[in-house]
This record gives sequence, C-alpha cells and structure tokens, in this order.
Amino acid sequence: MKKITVTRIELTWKNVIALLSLAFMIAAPFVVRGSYISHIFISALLFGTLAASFDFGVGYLGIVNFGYAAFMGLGAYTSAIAAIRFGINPWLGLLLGGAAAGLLGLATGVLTLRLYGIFVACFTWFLGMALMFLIAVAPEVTRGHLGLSVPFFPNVWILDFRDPLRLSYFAIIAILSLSILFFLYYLGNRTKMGLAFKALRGSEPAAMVCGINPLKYRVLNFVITCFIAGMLGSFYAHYIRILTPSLLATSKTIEILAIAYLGGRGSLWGSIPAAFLIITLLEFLRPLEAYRFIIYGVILILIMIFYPGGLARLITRKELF
Amino acid sequence: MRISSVVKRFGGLVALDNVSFEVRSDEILGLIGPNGSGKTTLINCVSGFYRPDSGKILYGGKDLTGLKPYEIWRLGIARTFQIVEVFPKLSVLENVIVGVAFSNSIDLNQARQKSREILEYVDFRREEDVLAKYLNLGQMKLLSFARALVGHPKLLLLDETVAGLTPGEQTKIANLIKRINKELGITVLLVEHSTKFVMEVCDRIVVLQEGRKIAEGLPQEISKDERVMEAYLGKEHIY
Repeated sequence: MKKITVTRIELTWKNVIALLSLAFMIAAPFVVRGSYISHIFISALLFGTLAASFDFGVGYLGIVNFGYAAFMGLGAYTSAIAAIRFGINPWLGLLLGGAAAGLLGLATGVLTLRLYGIFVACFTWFLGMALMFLIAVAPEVTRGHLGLSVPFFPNVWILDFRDPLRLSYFAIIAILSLSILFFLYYLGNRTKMGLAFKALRGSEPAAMVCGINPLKYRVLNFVITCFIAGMLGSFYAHYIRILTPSLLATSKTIEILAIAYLGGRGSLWGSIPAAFLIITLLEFLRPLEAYRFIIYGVILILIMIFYPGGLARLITRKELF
Repeated sequence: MRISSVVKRFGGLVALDNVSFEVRSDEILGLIGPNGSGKTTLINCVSGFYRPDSGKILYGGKDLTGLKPYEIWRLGIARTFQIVEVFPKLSVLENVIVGVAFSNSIDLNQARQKSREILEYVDFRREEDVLAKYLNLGQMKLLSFARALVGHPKLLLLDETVAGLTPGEQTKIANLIKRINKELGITVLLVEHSTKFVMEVCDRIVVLQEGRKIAEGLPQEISKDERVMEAYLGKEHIY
C-alpha cells in the first residue's frame, strides 16, 4: 500500500542518485553550451517521454499501439498546418495537436479495444500506415514527400527561440517531459483509474466482478497516451520545423517501443535514461548509417531474453510488469 | 432471485437444460452435482459472464440476462472464482481496495479504511503490503473472499471456495460464510464439490445433474434422496 499512502520522498541513496541525475540532466545543456549537445538532450527527452507514455499503455494495460508514431505525426501535422493556415502559435498548437491525436485515439479505441492483444497491435499498425500514406498523397495540404516547413515563431511570450543553443526549446521540453511523467505517475499510482488499470492487467475477470468496465478504462488509457503523443508531435513540428510522412512510419514506433522496453515496462521513468542511452549510442554509431537501426532489434531481443524488467529493474526491486 | 427455465448450450452440448429455482433472501443455498453438471455454468450466467440461450434470471424484478459482469456487480451481486483470481502484482490491501473502490461516492481513503476492516473481519493473517502472488492457495481464496465481501453485496456467489483447502481452512471458511449470512445479512449461493461441507453450511440445497435440476430441498432431505445418491454413486450402489 506504500505506493498510495507515501507521498513524501524518502532520502535513500537511490533517491539521491535519481535527484542528482535529474539535476545533471537539466543543468547540462546550460553548462556545456553547445547546440549539438542541446539537440541530443532535446531528442532524448522527447523520445524518452514518448516512450514513457507508450509504456503507460503497454506497462499498465498491455495495450500495444503499433501506430504510435502516426498519432505523434498527426499531432505534428495538425499543429504545423494550423500554424501555416491560421497562424496558430505553438502553445495553442500543443493543445491542438494533442486534441487531434486524442480524438483519433478515441475513435480507434472504441473500435479496436474490444479486441485484444495482437488484434489491437495489428489494427493500430494498419491505421498508422494508412495515415502515413494519406499524408503522402495529399501534397496540396501536407506537401507530401517534399516536406512541410513549419513557420518560425521567433519569440512567443518571454522565450527567445532564435538562440542558436536552443536552450528555450530545451527548457520547454524539460518542463513538458517532467509534467507528463508526474501526471502519468499520479494517474497510475494515486487514482482509481490507475487502480483499475492495474487490476485489469492482473486479472480481467476479477476486475469485472469488482465493477470495472474494461472497455471504458482501456479507451481512457488509449486516449490519454494518444493525446500525449499528439502534443509531443506538435513540439517536434515546431522544433524540427520540417515534416515528412516518414515521421509516421512504423520504424519510429519501433524506436519508441525499444526505448520503453529497455527502460522497463510499467516503470514510466525508466524510459528517460533508456532514451539517453539509445540516442547517444546511435549518435556514436552514425558512421554505420542505416545499419545502426539494427540496434533496436538487437536491444529488444536481448532485453526480452535476459532482462525483461529493463533498466528500471536495476534500481528498484519492485516488480513492475 | 429467481432463475427460470435457463438454457445454456455450448455447440451441441446442453450445459444447462431448463433449470429453475429460487434463491430466497437471507438464505445460504448450496448448488451441488457431479463434475460437468453445470454448476459453474449457472454461476457464470448469473454473474454475467455467459448469456443464457433462453430463460430469465430475475433479481429484484430486474432481468439479469444480457447484463455485463460489472453491471451485475453494481446491482449488489459479488462472486468468487473456482480457479482463484487475485491481482498478483497488487498488495493484499490493494486487492481488497479494488473490490470497493469502484462503487460510486467512495474515495480511495474510505476504500482503504473499509478494506482494512474487512481483512480484520475475515481474520486475514498476512501483512497487508505483501504482494498477492506470494500468498498460498488458502490465503488467496480468503483474499478473494474478502474482496467480494468488501463492497457489501446483497448476494454473494461462491464458486468452490474450499476446493483444495486443508480441513482447518475449510472449517474457517464454513464459519465465515455462516457469519456473513447472519451478521451482514448477505444471501449466499455457493457451488461446492464437498457434500459434507454443503450439508454443514447450507440452509437449502439444489442438485444438478447433466444440466438438469434433479432435486431441491433441505440438507437432510437431499442426503436421503434416491436420485441424488444415484447421480453421485451410480445405480448399482442403491439396489
């Protein structure tokens, strides 16, 4: 019951290490001051948070959304097109992107979550591909494979985005990432909704005879994770400022999935160090070009065979999945 | 609750063939029968896991057929499972909390409070923060019993609660069932293999054989009923 009752943070060496790494993570780009370092940190946080939110589906309810990158891409394109057509600023864009992905998530969820396991994975996978091709064949709106360039908003409110060190972007993604992690952790561990997720994961028949409607909670979980994907996609759009349909590809989902599994399913936070590991590793392996993506497959296989608890299991003895 | 002419088929197999009986309020009704006689199928029909092919299950004037398990739970009908179902990665206390948290107008603190009371009431003797998967079978069964009880159901369906338990644990459960019936006013419909257990605990007994009801009555009547003896032991033992 500690999970629900203890709200203060105990001062153990593990927590000290966690807080120190958090402080390091936040301070590093400000101290090191290089646009490349900033970029690595921003990508790691972005993909780590995407993976954490993906984990909120996989780790808590066993829902594998194989079109996850497409929901992120939908958020990105929505926010970009809103900015181009109507001059909607990135802050509203975040919400708009989230809402678009969340709505599609709702429709998909109601349709597919009556199905289980592999069927959900297949359906979302096909949906993701359909969405990607839809964007590719509608160049008058999305500019298809030519790429959609997103207008630049040099300063919104107090932040200056012209800074070559991209520290403003870093600050935003750091805040976004921390809030999303806390939000998901809170939902998963302090609310009835989280309890319902865990109960369903443990035993669906037993959960049903405790008054839990499986479909309702599965859809809720799905909509939440899709909303977050859309929001982060919208951040991606305004950060990278060029969108191509390949953003929605299944390979992107696999990257997110590999990070989540390496981090440790059900841990949420494990995805962040996992993203830092994988993204820096891939930077080192850049000379290998496309071959380096084999690493995702290798990591997934190794994790599944030897260490299904992932990185999180190194720190906590609690069984998460 | 009145079960009237319930039929349930699985392909060509008729699992329940026109079964009718009544569960009177505040009684402990035992449902017995040889293997494959349809006892668990009936429990699954009442709790919404199966939808009967025909017939009605009326509970307080409402037909339960076609309702989902969680809707039936909201009407005040709780159940346990033959093959024990706990939430393995949740703690003992969390397991029980799930049993009450999803009734309306209860927050997690109140749910926790009620859960502790019920664990005390059923005399559960393990730490509340141990994960359910580390419990032994007897403890798991008692835990799922507590989880079914914590939401204060009006009717409790127990599917083979004592199967596989030691005689000591069986006695404990037997006393508990009588207690919740008397003290909390919970009507109990229980399915059991052990005739001794059923004779001891139940007010009335319904006997199923191959999906048909072959007898209904007080324990002493049932123990003398020829058809029941025949169903359990075969014809040659009687003649």
